[in-house]
This record gives sequence, structure tokens and C-alpha cells, in this order.
Amino acid sequence: MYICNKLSLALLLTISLLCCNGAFAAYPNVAEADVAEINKKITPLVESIPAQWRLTMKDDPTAMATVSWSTFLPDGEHVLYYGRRSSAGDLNDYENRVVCQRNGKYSDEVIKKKNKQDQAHSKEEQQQQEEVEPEGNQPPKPTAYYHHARLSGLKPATLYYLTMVSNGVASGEFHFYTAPADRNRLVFLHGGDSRTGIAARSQMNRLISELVSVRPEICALVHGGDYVSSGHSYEQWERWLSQNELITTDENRLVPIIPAKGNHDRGKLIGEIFDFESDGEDDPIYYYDIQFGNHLSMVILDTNIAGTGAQEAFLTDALARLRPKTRWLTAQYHRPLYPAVKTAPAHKGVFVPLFENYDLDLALESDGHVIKRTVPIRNEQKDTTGVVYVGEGGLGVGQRQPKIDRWFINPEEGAYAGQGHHVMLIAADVKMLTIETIGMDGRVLDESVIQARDEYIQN
Amino acid sequence: MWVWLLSFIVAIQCFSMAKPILLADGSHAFRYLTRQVDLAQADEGDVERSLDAIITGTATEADYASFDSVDLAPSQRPQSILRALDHAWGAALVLVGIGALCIRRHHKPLAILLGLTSLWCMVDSMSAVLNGGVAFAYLSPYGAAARTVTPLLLATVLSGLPTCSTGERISDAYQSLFGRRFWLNAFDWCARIGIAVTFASHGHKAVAGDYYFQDLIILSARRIGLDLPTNTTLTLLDWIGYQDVLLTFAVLLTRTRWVLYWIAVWGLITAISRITAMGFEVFDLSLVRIANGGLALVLLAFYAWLSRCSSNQNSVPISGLRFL
Repeated sequence: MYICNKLSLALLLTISLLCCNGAFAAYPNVAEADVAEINKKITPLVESIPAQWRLTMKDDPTAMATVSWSTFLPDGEHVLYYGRRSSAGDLNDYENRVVCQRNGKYSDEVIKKKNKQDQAHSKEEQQQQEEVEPEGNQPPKPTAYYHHARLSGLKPATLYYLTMVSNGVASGEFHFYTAPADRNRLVFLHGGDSRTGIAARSQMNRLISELVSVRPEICALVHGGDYVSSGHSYEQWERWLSQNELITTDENRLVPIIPAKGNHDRGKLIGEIFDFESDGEDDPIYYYDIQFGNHLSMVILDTNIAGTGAQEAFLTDALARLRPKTRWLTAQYHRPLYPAVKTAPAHKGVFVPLFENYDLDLALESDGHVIKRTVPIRNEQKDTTGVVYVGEGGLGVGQRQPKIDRWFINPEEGAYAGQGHHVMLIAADVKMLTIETIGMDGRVLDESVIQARDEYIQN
Repeated sequence: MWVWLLSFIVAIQCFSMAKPILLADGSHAFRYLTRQVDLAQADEGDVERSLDAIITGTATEADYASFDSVDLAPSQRPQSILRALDHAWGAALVLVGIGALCIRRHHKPLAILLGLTSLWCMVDSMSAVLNGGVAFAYLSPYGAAARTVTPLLLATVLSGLPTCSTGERISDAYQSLFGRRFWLNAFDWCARIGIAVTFASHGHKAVAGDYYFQDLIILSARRIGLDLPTNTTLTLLDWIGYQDVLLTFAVLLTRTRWVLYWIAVWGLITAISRITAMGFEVFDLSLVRIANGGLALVLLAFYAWLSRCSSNQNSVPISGLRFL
């Protein structure tokens, strides 16, 4: 009896330990979720009510963030109240108040292209417009207004509460965590390609929200691009923006986005949405690096411009600067360099030699509409010291068949290739980086581990 | 000689067009149709309208309910059928290529397939426009003009034009066509327009500083130890663009031998630049462009053949045919 009790206790302890380690981690299942119910959380974009809120992290995510939102009307002042205490409804209780540094009207290049007139924004003007519009000739959708509040001087791994106010109309209270400067652990999500599949997009956004609820240490969603099919279309972006509200948790926690530009995200709108601004008449620069202390750095690249030239110079400089002091070095960009379906872009000839030269650990890719994890690659062959390429995008878009006969995704060599809506949960610890591919039903479709490189583990 | 050259170019083009269909993500047309099926299955049109109503705050219960009617795990049968059809067409392209290499006699079935190949090139490049997501996607049909007309040209040769009887040798048939200016002129003009349109679109992209061309030049130059600065490359691209436009007008307005040689050499260099920049794994990207320069070689051989015929029969079959 005594031995039986001991055995039961040991078994119980083992199970508890395994559960704590996440071996039996059950992730939320949204595959059967009621999409209508999910969509009821979307805030209507009317008058001056702050809607389509989002939090973008660039530069230093431990100390800086950009809170953005949209309003249908441009009127009044657009202000963000924030602080480390919840205001409980009284805006004066917040420690900080910042007037949005950048406001403007979303461009609609599709409407412009059709030489449509700018649309009226006041109700009266709209009414007048409707009266003069002949029946059956729907006026183009009026574009809304964006507001960006850039925050700096924040403390790492700190909870901040915020309320957006436009023309005196306040949003509900939200909160977010700045990224940790913790040297031991960093957890984030990676996904891409949400340009079609509107119902599935709602579900995947809900999955992200629920994942953040059950794994609160998730600090950001790293989005690989192709948010919409035509980056020039405000109509498509408007839908994406409203649905993006759904990644906010039920507790009103905002999930920061680290954005990359996809090949369908051409046009001015992506810059207006994620606050990329150009100094002159040129397009904004969409490549940048982001550092989570010395624990993990990420270089975000743009596969819509030349890989050579300025971008190559930036990448060389960033990798040379970050590698010696960073434990985990990662990169994110849209078009896959080791594609599971398509052919590699010319950027491969520029990026891959640099990745290998600077011992990149992980490359996050999108665009292929499949699930992929390559073997570690160096010099065009499997090499345990090489770079692992994962991703290919499944945040709503229809999935394709991966070409599993390609050597770098051959399952017999330890790689993975599949299809299905998915998001990747990446946890970077001191000695290992774990990648879990989570399907819409919460199942872990693939799990793999990358060991830290000895020479950088002490960083 | 020119018929052989034309057949060879068509064959190479067919094989390289088949590669992405059979071994990669399929043709542009397949991807476009698959996406349309995906969207239809997801009731994207209705769902978009419902979502718009939610955003504008005018949604009714019916709008919310429309999301529940979406089949989230739709049958993949239509997509499988499309993929099978695409693969079948890829296999057909291989057969057309083999046919083009092997058949030297009038062959109407092959001519019909070649005509379809031409039509498909056009449809596929238009699908590329619809798919978007690539810089200058709208120029795809123009950039593919040379490769679109090439199978059509061979089709006209193999179709046994009005006076040719089945089984007759092609060269004999054309000999018999001697004097039928319409067909010979049509062949000549189709080839020249195909080349011109392709070069005009490439010229436009080059002058606009297409990032892809920039990468091709810089990466190719590195293979021979040259590290070209970006500014130099962009200046070079400008000159390349102007040169392409110049060649466009030259090939349309003149029948000059050196212009055709120039186009042939330049067309083949630019095609091969895909391999020199990105390696042999993208050989199909080079080979599919073989017509850009190859068609000029066909024209040169065609003119030489016509000249020989002219001297034999003391007549000029194409009006104004003069070599400078």
C-alpha cells in the first residue's frame, strides 16, 4: 500500500511537471467558434469614436511603442492618456497625456485611380451626396482618419493602461506590456498572409487573442505581411483594421504588432497604418531592426525593393552590430528564401550569404500559404550550424500544397511541411528556442527546438 | 534553318513553362482560378458586405449570421481538379515541346496545340496582372509578347497554310508560298511586334528603376568580381531602358541586320542574367525568355532564307525587304 501511494505520488508529480513544461499544453480551439459572436466585438467606425486600435513596436520595444487608431471624422484633438495605473474612468488619473504626433486621412489610391471625387465626411454632406447620386451608382467608400501616438521613455516589462480620446470621445480602457529586457525568456507569435478568407481571419485573430490570454508572456505578434490583397485599396485595409481589433484579449490587452511588408501591401496605406513615414517624397523605409535587450534581436527586411544597395548595407550593418552582443539573432521578411511552394526571389543571393556569415538563428517567412520548417541550412545543404527558415503564412488565406520533394523541407531529414491556418509560437530561452506551430483548432502541428550557439549563449 | 531555330526556341520555351506548373506553385492562371474558388467557397463577397455593415454600424443580425454560413472546411475538390488540369496542361506543354523538336512536317494537331500555347501564354500573363503582388505586374502581358507570338509563328508554319498539302516538307511549302506576301508579311510583322512590345515594356521597367533588374545586374556583376554601386547600377538601368526603347523603334521601323543581332545578343544576355544572378536553380526563368533574343535570330535566318529565295526566283516576297 505504501509503495502504491509512493508510485501514485510520483506519477502525479511527473504529470504536473510535464504540464508545467507545456508538454500537454492545450491551446484554445477556435475552429468551431461562432464567428458571428467573434465579430460582435468589432467597434463600428463612426463619427469620432476611436476604433481599429493597434499597437506597433519598432526600434526599442522595451521603451517605445506607437498606439494608433482610426476615426471616421477628423474633428477635434486626438489624445492618448496612459500610465501605469488604471484610471477607472477618470482621464485625469493617468500619469501621461500625449497628443497624436501624426494624423491624417487614409489614402485611397483605388478611388484616386478612378478619378472619383473626394467624399464628404459629415453626415449632412453624405446625405447630400446620396441625394445627388443616381440610383445604382454607389459612391466610393469615404476613407477614415488615422492617428498615431508615439510613446517613448517607457519601462521594460511594464503594464501600461491607456485610453484613446478623439474630439472628446473616449475609447474603453486598454492595457499593454512593454517588451521585457529579461535576459532569460522571450515569447512571441509569428504569422502572415491574412489577405483573403475574411471569416478565417476573424478566427485566427481570435486564436491570437486567446493564446495571449493563456500565455500572457507573449509579447508581440510578428506579422510577415500580405495583410490585404491590394495594398492600394482602403476598403480592404479598413476590413483588416477592424478585424485586427479582435487580437485584443477579452481583458482589453493590446497585442503589439511587429510588421513586415508583403508583396500585396504596396501603396501608401501600409505606411499610414503602421506609422512608417518617409523624410521626403520617397517611399518610407520598411526595413528596420528591433532589439529585446541582448536576448533576442530581429531584423525586418523588405522583399519588395532591391535586396542589394541600401537594404544590403543596412542588413550588413545590422547583423555586424547585433550578432556579437545578441544571444538569439532572427530575421523576418515576406518572400521565402527557401520556399516550400514557389521559387526563391533574387534577394536570396544577397540575404542568405549574410545570414550564414553572421550565424542567424532563425528566419521567419511568409507568402507561400503553407506551413514550413526547413532543416538548418548552410552552403545549400543541411548543416546543424545553419539557419532554420520557418513560416510561409496562414492567418486566413487559403492554403497550398507544399512541395515536400524539396530537400530542405524533407520530413525524413527532420523538416516539416504541411498546410492549414496557423500561427507560430516562438519561445526563446537561454539555451534553446522552441517553435510550436499551432493550428486553428489549437493543436500543435509541429514542434521543434533550436539550440543556442555556444559563442553567443553568454550574451 | 529558321524553321529549325523556331522549333527549337518553342520547344525550350514549352519545357521551361512546364517546370513551374509541374514542379512549383503552378501557372498564374491556376493560381488566379484557385483563389477565385477559395473566395467563392468562403462567400467572400457576402461576408465582405456583412463586415462592411458591421464597420459602418448598420449591421443586422442577418449580417452577423452570414459569417456562420461560411463553410470553414470546404471541399478541396474544385482546387484539386484545377491542379490536375494545370498539371495536365504542364504535361501537354512538354509534349508540345517534344513535338516542336521532332515534327518537321505539316501537322495540324500540333499546330492547334501551338496556337493554344500562344493563347495560354496570353491568358497566363493576364492572370499575372490579376494576381498582382509583383512590381510592374500590369506589364506582364507586354513583357511576355515575344514568348506569346513564338508558338503562334510555328503554328502558322505547321498549319499547312492555304496552299500547302499535308505531309509536305515545310521548306517546300514555304517555297510554294513564295509570292504570297500576306502570310510572309504577317509572319515578319508578328515577330517584330512581339520583340518590340517585349523590349518596350522592359525598357519602361528599366527606366523606372525596377528593383529586380537592379538586383540582377549587381548580383551578376559580382560573379565576375565587379562590385557595382547602386547609383552606377541605376544609371546603367536608365541607359539600358533607353537602349530597349531605341531597339523597339529600330525593329519596328527597319529590317536592319545589326539591330536584330543586337536584339538577339542583348535578349539572350538579359535572359541568362537570371542564372548569373540567382544560380542554376532558376534556369527555367532564363529559358522561358529564350524568345526575347531568339526570335531576332529566327528573323535573321528567315530573312536570309527569303533572300536566297528572292535571288533564285528573282522576286522580293516581302514588300520593302532591304537589309541595311
